[in-house]
Amino acid sequence: MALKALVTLAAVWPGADLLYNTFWGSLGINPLETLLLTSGETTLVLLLCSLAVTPIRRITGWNRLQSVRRMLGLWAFFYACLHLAFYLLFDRACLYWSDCQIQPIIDDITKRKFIIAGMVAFLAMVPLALTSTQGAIRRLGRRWQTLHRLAYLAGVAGVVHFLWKTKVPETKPYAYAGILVALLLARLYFSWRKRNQSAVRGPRSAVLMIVAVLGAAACSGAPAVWLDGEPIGAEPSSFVVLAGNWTVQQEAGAPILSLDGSTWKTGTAPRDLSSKAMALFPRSAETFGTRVLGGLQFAYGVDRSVGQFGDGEIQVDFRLIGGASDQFAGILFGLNDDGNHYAYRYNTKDGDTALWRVVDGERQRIHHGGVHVEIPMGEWRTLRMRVQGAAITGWVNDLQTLQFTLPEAPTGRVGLWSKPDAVTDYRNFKAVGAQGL
Amino acid sequence: MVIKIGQPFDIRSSEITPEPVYRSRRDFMKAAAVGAIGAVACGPLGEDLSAQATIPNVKPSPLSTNEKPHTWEQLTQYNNFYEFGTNKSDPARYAGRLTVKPWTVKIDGHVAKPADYAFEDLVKPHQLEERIYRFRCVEAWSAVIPWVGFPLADLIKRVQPTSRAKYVAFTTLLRPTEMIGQRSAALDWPYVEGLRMDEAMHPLTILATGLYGREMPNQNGAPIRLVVPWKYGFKSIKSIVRISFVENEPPTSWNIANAREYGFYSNVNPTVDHPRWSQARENSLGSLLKNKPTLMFNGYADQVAKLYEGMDLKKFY
Repeated sequence: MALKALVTLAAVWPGADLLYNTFWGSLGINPLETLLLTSGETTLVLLLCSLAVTPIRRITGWNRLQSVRRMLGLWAFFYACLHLAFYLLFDRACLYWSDCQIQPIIDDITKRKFIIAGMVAFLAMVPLALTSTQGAIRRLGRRWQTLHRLAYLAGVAGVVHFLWKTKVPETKPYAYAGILVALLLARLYFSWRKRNQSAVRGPRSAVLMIVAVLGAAACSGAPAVWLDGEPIGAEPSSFVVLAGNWTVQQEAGAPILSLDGSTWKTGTAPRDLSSKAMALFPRSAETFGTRVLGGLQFAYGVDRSVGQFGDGEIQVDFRLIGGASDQFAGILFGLNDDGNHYAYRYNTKDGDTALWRVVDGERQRIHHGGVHVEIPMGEWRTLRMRVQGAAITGWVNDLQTLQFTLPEAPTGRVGLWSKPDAVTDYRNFKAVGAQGL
Repeated sequence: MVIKIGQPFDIRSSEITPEPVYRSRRDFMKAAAVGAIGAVACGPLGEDLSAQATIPNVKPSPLSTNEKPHTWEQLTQYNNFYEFGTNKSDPARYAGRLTVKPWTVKIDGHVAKPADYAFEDLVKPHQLEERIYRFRCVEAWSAVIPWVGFPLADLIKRVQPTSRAKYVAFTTLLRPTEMIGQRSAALDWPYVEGLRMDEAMHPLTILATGLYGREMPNQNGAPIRLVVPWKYGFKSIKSIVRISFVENEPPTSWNIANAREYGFYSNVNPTVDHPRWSQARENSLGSLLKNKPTLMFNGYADQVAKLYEGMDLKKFY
């Protein structure tokens, strides 16, 4: 991928330049200083870049940026190792054992606060580098994200190391400090907004819950049924249709949701988009509406009663009816106000489940489960998935068909997702947050 | 006033490098730097040596070290002269625009002959000498520098300080139009420094007007600067416009900037660490390794240690 190649090139460059200049003896008048300053500053720049990925992605919606975050972090760690090695080998002269004195090093890391700050930054990066593998992400699950907040500690300690190193106030360390503060503020803002959004949603869903519980108690005491009370033959209101023809039908006295891909034309804008957008993302309805219009290639809708969904399980019963090119059923998750989302789907063409990501209206395949499942037409099955941090597990009925860890934990709204031409029935959609499991 | 200073001249005259010898050494080193792959510091060739006029009638000094001087390029392309910026390459880049002719030095304070001296009049009466000195920066790098200058003591005797003069205070030019570093508040401008009278009178202390037998390059503190070889480099104030004879210890720029890190005396001392780094070793410019042991008083202990007899050098750092 071009972006990855570009980032690799940019990250390799300072090191290659140092190597070249070392070889040709052109490191400047004070080569020791050049090596220390260049390696240290490169570490800091790459670390700040890795910390900037998420905020920039959130602001611009340029999600592909996510794919270079780990790379930036690992390169930052590489330069931090170089920096430390230069300090030990050259500044402390441990290149020659006879020149190496341990006590001054101990003095440095116990007495000198600017070196302590540097060491803190380095030590904070070690566990991050060690747990940067897919395997570690999977094993650690939700704790991985918590652990990787250490990146901020590394950033702060690194900037402080630079600030405390200078003899007089200089522009550069303050510029880095400013960037770091901006990134931290962006992070705080995003988490505040997230909390705020769910807080706005909180009382509303609480009211809905009370109404539902009271209503259910008044009727039969049974738990609320998906699509209960929605008018037959119409688009449901509790399920926000963003693309495709979805109507409520009745089967054996219970409501089902029918997607009819045979009657829907790709690119058809949904009805009442602005009020739907308001209902889903009140703070960024306009942006979201625009983004929806930018990507009408797939049929999808959102369950209105579920707010920001992180960890938990989502499941739905489905029945394949038809489709021009494919028979298909899918769960939508991680839908955000930029319109980007994920999907876990089954189709008959591949005969397995897979994870997809829709970014800027474009579909990207993330992972094929590879477990073959035959599902005959006209029979009900259950599609189920579990989100645990960034780890996704998928089932068809009780057969586990997929396991994969995304680069980042998906959070957002959930619903159903399908190929535009598929004809599929759904019932009993349920999304239960981790606390409810 | 009479100031007595002991002078154990431990350097035999046979150890002194005559000018033609170090010059040929320099040429050799230049050639070696260009030719040798793996030579660590050769960088872009700096300003041409011949751009600076030769100073006539410079005599060698028995106070010079016999260590090999660093190259013209090393000494003129890597400088701390915050008046032109805080990067080491800033002085070489920006000092060219400094006007050094005409130049006036004001001499005032407790002195019999206070006056504004034109640079030429200030220097003319004195015999210029080559002084090859070790130079130790507080940042723990070091160099060997062939200065041209004359003893500050000679000037002091000439202007006749009164008995109230206990210290000598120096001031650098304040001219932000040409010294662009002075436009930002890195330090409290103008740069000021000071010496105790006995330090100022010591034969090792010189006012330098040249480098490598040539007029002082701007980035090294043209046209006239102080050199006190047993103290950290920042004590050797550059581009001096005022020398005042005062009664009390004068303020000094780095001490104002950070009193905990930079004291008035700032003698090179491997046993008193800078709060942020050890001063026990240094890296000689061009070396990748900081493995050269730093010597007490930068190797001038025999000549200067008695100035500080009975003083707690950890307290008076």
